[in-house]
Amino acid sequence: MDESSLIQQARRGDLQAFNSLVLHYQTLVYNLAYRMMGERESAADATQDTFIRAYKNIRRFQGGSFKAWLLRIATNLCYDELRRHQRQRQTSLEALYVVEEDANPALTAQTESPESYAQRNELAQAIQDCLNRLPPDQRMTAILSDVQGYSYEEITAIARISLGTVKSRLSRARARLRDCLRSKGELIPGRYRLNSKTNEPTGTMD
Amino acid sequence: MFRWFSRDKTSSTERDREALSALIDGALRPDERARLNARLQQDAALRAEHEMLLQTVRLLRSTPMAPLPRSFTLNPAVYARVQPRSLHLYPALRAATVAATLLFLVITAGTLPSGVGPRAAQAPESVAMEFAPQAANDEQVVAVETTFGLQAPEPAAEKAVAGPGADTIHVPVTRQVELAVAPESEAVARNVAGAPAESSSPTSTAAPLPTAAAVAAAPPAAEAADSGDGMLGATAGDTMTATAAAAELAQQAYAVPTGTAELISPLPATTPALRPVDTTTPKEALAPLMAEPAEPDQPVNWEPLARWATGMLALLLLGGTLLARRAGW
Repeated sequence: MDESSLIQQARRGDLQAFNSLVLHYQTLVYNLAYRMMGERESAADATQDTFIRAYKNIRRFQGGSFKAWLLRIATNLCYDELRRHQRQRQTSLEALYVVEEDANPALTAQTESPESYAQRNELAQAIQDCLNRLPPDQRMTAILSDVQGYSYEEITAIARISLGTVKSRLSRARARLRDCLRSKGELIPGRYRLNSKTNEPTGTMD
Repeated sequence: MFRWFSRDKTSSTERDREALSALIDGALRPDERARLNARLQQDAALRAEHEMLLQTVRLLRSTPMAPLPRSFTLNPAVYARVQPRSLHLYPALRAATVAATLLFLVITAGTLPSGVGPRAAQAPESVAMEFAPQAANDEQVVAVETTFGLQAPEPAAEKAVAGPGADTIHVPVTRQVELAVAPESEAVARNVAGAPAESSSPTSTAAPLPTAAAVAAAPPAAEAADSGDGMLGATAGDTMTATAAAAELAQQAYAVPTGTAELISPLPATTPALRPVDTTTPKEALAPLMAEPAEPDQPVNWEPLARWATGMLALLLLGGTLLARRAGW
């Protein structure tokens, strides 16, 4: 069943149709919340609240990208939660030492060596730590663009900011992340470390 | 000067970084991209910056997706009965708030000119004019002593007995004035009460002044009147006929400047002095006069109540609107 008919059924109060949408988007929403909040429990709470709020307000959804609408709800909830906990901001030990099983097929593949697995985990921890140090608006932009791979246009729809703001925030976020990751030095596995070798310009990522 | 250089350099660096970031995402126009690539060929520092940013983005994009701790589907046992909201409370409350505020402003603007001066000055006059018949109907016996007093201190506006240009004595409705005339100053009391000065009739009434001044008969005085102990009783007919004269005399006797309402003075030497009301007077005796509606024919002024009600309504709606907005209703 396509998304638009599921949305229409959900608007009429069909919870099963809405749960189909939940199943489709819960990984995206949870990962956005997890990268924003930096710890699992808060991310799970924010994700659940996102779907509850989306269900209660689905009649206010007036077309367009349902994913962007959903992620906008999640973004606002994360901002609210971050503001609430700003004074007691601390890096969760759980977030630092969690082993993200099933996150990537490569992580659970029997072929991956324990050393490689450990390195990946260290890298994920370092990145999350650097993300946590960004201001919330820059963090959100970096997560949407570089972690989840959304285009500028999608980010403008999700965050309701202008294209220029997206570019500006993303540029500053990347610069800060670069500095942070460089400062970690030995904490990052050798093959992932940033170095300033001046290769030929490679242009774009794609 | 140096700050200008520094700022310019910083902003230039930020612009370069922004351009490099957009280059990485393929978000530059072709001409911008060609220009930046040309600069990268020549500028090693810029090239190093570009390379570092590129590695950073690659690292971020290699971040694995976090596994779900559980499913986030909504429990049918809890949410099957919860229908998606169809009411848009926030827009409705917002519109209602605006309407209530406008109503409040209209009422306030409409009452300001009429509610301040003329009406406030006119109301006591009408009260005074209507008091005599009312007292006559009730057949209240007014006891008059050599002195009379105000029962309790009251605000200045309510104590104004009569302004210089007034036709009658202005006394507020709720005011309790006790008039009592001692036997030895009967004539004075009659004058005060409004009977013609030359009249020596024992039945001449003291009603107009006391009634016009919201007179309360004290029980001891009433008892004295019943026993014929020099007290003068008032009849309805007498009260009606003597009203005008009493008002005139009372105006002469008790007229004070409007602004000096605290004191009802100066009083003529022959005029009874003000004294505090006897606090020993049983309240039961005062109850009938205190309880009766003071102005049965005067229209009630609803404007302050309407102002207050609409103001409170607007405030409540504003609170509800803010709550609805915050809760996402």
